[in-house]
Amino acid sequence: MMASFQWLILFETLMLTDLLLLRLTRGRDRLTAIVMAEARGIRASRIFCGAVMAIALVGGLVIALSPEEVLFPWLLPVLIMVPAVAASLLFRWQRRAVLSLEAEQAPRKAVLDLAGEPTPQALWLAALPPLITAGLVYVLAAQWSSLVLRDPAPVPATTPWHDPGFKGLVSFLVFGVVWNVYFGILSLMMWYGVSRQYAFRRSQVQAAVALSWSQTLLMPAWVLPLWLRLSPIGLLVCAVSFAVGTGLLVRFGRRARRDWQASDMPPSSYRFYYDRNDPSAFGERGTNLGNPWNWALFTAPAVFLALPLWSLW
Amino acid sequence: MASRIRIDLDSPVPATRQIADALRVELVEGRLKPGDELPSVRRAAVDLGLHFNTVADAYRQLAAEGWIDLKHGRSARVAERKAPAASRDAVAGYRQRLRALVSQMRADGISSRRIADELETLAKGVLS
Repeated sequence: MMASFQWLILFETLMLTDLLLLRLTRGRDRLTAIVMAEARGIRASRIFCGAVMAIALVGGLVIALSPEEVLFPWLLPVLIMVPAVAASLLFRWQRRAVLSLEAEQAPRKAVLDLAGEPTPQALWLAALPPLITAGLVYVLAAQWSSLVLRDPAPVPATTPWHDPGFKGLVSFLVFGVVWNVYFGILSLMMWYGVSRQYAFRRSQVQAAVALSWSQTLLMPAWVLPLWLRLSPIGLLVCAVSFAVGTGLLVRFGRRARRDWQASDMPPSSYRFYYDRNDPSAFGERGTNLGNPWNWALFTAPAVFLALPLWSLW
Repeated sequence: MASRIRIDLDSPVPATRQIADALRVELVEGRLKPGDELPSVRRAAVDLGLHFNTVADAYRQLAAEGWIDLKHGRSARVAERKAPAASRDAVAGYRQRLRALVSQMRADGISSRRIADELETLAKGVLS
């Protein structure tokens, strides 16, 4: 089951990447955004997103239920390749379709502020989460023999690193470190790689750091009680960690919304907007949070999270 | 130092020249003083949405004119600059360019009175 679980994580991550790739391509590519403003573009996008989600759901169930010998050598690669090929075909179609459309020409002005700006303190905080998780792994390894597992191995391992339970737990934490590093790099890229005229730059840097911290707090709070029989104090620490991690997300979500409301950016520069009558999920205006249909797409990550959890239990 | 420069990305004038011209105006009019730090080339390129080399060329042009000091691994700084003695030919060249510019303004329909007012404002700024 554990091997399938790891393949399931990989599979669902790749599915999510396909959806994100579509988002990123549209965000950066003005021509694709024009296609997406057309009914056929929106329809194609919905079909693609629906197909990816269906493959994520059905493929996830297949991986969770199939024995290893069925997954390899052909089933898993096929499941992974299908949405990638579909995404590639969709992008090609968008490029071709755009040739028949005229891009609207807006005057392009650029502004350079000659004033300097200090590096925000929050950037330094982005370096801490991976160290905290590494410290937690070190403490777990040192104390492993004295911890009570929910599902102990029949034959005790000589070192924690040979214990399947420890390796499973640590794989989650390492997965978290990967996200920590990702958010750390994202915060650096947002600060140094995005124009200072972009109104949400600072709030997005802070949000990336907050996400890194919240993930560092939420992941152990989620996996430690699953793996270990914790004392009431341990459970309390996990609950507090979970509450603080969630609180960070809420706080920075609210701050981003405040920045959005206070911003004097033109509507075309928004990353998010609320328009119930606009059928596009991602387009020239940004991400539309106002259309209920779009929430099917936005809640897709919940499917990706739910399937591995289901497999674990 | 809190001024801004604006670049028209659709203008036929090359972006390098627009950047150099706009910064030169800030330098000549004293809004950028010796010792002031300019945004790094990378930062300016990101903010303006231009290629790194476009901004670097503008900075190099200003450095060649003695306006800014470029040192590897450090932000560009406004340098102490002694104004060179202009030759008679240089003055004649600028006079010719001014006349050409005034003719262009008149050709574009700007009234003589308005042109004179603009030149007067400029002249006051130069003398102040």
